[in-house]
Amino acid sequence: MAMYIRVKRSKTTYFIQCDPTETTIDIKQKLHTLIDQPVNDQRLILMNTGEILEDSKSLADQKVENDAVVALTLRKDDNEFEDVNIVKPNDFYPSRDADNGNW
Amino acid sequence: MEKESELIRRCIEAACRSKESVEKWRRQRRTLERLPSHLSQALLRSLLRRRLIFPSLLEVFKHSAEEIDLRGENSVDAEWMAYLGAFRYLRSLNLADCYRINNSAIWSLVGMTSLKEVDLSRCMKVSDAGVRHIISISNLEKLWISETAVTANGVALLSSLKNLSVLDLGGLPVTDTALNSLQALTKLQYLDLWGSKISNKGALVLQSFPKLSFLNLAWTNVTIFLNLSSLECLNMSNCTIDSILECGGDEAPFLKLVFAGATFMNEAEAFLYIKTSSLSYLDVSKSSLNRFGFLADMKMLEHLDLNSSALGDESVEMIVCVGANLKNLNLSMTKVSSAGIGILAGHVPKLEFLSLSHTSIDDVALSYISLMPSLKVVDLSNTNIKGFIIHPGTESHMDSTLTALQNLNYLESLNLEHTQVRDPDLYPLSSCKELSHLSLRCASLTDATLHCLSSLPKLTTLQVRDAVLTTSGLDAFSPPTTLRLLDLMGCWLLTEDGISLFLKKHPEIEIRHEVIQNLSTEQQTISNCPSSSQQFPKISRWNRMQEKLPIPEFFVDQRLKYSREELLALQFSPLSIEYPRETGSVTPNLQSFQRD
Amino acid sequence: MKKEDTVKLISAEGMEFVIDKEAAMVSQTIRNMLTSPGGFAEAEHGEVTFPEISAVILEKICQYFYWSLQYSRGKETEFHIEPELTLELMMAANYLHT
Repeated sequence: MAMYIRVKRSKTTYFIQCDPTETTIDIKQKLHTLIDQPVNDQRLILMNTGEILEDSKSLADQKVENDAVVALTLRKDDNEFEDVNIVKPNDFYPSRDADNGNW
Repeated sequence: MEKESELIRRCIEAACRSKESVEKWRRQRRTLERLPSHLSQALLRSLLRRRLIFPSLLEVFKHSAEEIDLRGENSVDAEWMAYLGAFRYLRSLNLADCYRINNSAIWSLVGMTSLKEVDLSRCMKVSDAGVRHIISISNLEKLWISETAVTANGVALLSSLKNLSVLDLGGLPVTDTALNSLQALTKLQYLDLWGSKISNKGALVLQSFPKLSFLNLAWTNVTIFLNLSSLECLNMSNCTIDSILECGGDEAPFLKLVFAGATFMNEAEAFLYIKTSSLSYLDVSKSSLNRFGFLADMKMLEHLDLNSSALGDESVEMIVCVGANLKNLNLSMTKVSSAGIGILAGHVPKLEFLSLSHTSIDDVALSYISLMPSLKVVDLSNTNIKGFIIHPGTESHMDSTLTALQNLNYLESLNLEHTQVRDPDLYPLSSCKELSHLSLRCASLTDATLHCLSSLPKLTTLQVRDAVLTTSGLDAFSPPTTLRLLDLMGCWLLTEDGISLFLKKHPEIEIRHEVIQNLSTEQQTISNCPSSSQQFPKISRWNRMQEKLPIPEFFVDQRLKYSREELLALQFSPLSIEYPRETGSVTPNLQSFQRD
Repeated sequence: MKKEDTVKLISAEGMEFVIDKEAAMVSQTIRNMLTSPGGFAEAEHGEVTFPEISAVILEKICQYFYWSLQYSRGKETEFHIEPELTLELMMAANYLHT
């Protein structure tokens, strides 16, 4: 394993081991085994740039580095892709420590 | 205690990186309250090490810390104590050598019912008034107040602490009367009375402590060797012993006896009536004993210190009798010669530590020493070892006698200071694969010494003192990667520039040398910057230690004293200068014994 | 990558982290849960819930698992810990024997 990326959708994060030379489609294949969604119904977006990853390009070419966060969106019934939806922990709970100074 | 995991270690490091880091977590009150005590204590230790703690920050640990060790922290004062007084679960507090602690600072401890152990050793401002505060901690089980200003009256007050099992009153003027009033402390197992005013009359009172297993009466006027039935460890160093008191039917199963510097009025009897078969530790260094037949029965002996005793070759047979289990043997400053070591060879299969410093042994002894297979630490300093033997008739051919040491597969530490070994004789040491500490000190050693030691795979500490090392020699030295400390004190040809150059090339190595004082001050200034704050505490600590090291007076003007020709001549002459003898501490240093 | 080779760690808030078992094994506690014979329900379902560990900390823990694997294979990078996370992370590490 040369690196890993964090693929996020809704309240789930998948840690995927990969190589910089692997292509986006390779990642989608790996996700397929985990979530049973065909690769054609998956879209991956690099979070820090907002760019949609292209199937045939390598991770290195698209500046996807170790520990990168990548959003996963799925095709909806109307054939369109859903919007990026990643639940932040704070959406669930308020800050755990009342005296943390957040409010 | 549990070993800290790698991630915990990294967290503590990140938490203590700077003042700013601390600010990021110090207000997470609820988290701090839930912190397990071992994590809280590890965090506090790290803050102390990094000098990031201040009294009001202590508060964050008040719900979690159970044991706090502030030994030797000279900033600890009444303000710190005020915060510590609020620590609900504190079980053990060590304030030894915190010199600002006084009676009013101790007032904060009043009513701390969780406290079981308090160490106030050498807090010199603590007196009887402080004891009055301490006796309010009724559950106290262990108390150390040695070398404080407490008087006999204060000691008498302690009789109300009925749960005491450990009481250290070392160096206090405890009188027979005061000791008498402590008889209520029936749980006492450990009692330290060194340097007190106890006489034989008071010593007899000791029979009334049924559980007493450790007793230190060093430097007192007690002359009775108390054979109490419960006693396992007895220290009567520097006492004059004229009689033995038998108490009860059971003979004491002594494990440890220390009679360093003691005078025995009736030698023949000294060990006659006590059961020594289970004894594992005996220190009779500097004592008046001059016959050693008593050793023969001490079959379990592991540690034997005969340093500066009257022992000579004729008594080595006695050591042979108990050689089977010996791990540690100190024969320095005795009359033992190489012949005596020959008698010992082959009979000490487990011996790990051997000191023969300041004896008359010569190179012949090395071949005998090589027959002691478990040796790890060998001190051969200040002996007649030359490093070679000239075979008669073949004066040109000289064998290096250090070759014999190659047989010692476990040799970790070797001291050859003030012997006459020269560069070529040291070559055999380069194949001592386990050697991590090597001490050399001789005016005839040169750059070649460094060269031949560079291949030692585990060397961490190297001392080459008073040698004729040059700056270019140091520059050419490629140290083993494991080396951390290079002590070059007294190598007067080395320049500040040469040493800084070496330090730049090898930042992981610490150098000790007279010119380093200036260098380390500079380093400290750099280290004060936040970026390198990591190294700061280490360096500051070293500096404090170095300040205590005396700089030999003859150092400064050596360059002026000799001409070039004289210096060259010096290189080939045997030792001509009488070196000041390295003395150990003169005070009765019983620390290690007390705390075992 | 097979589904059986992964394990799902669930935080106090219900956030889920799907990681390789190999990475999860960096934690002695999780290793015991997954490998002890006859053992835990967790082993069967491939899910472990940590009601005491928040999502932020659990994610950091997972990142540490992977960093630790990389480190053991000779990759030398720093593992950065934000100072505000140190206390909670330390407690989680203590619980997970990491």
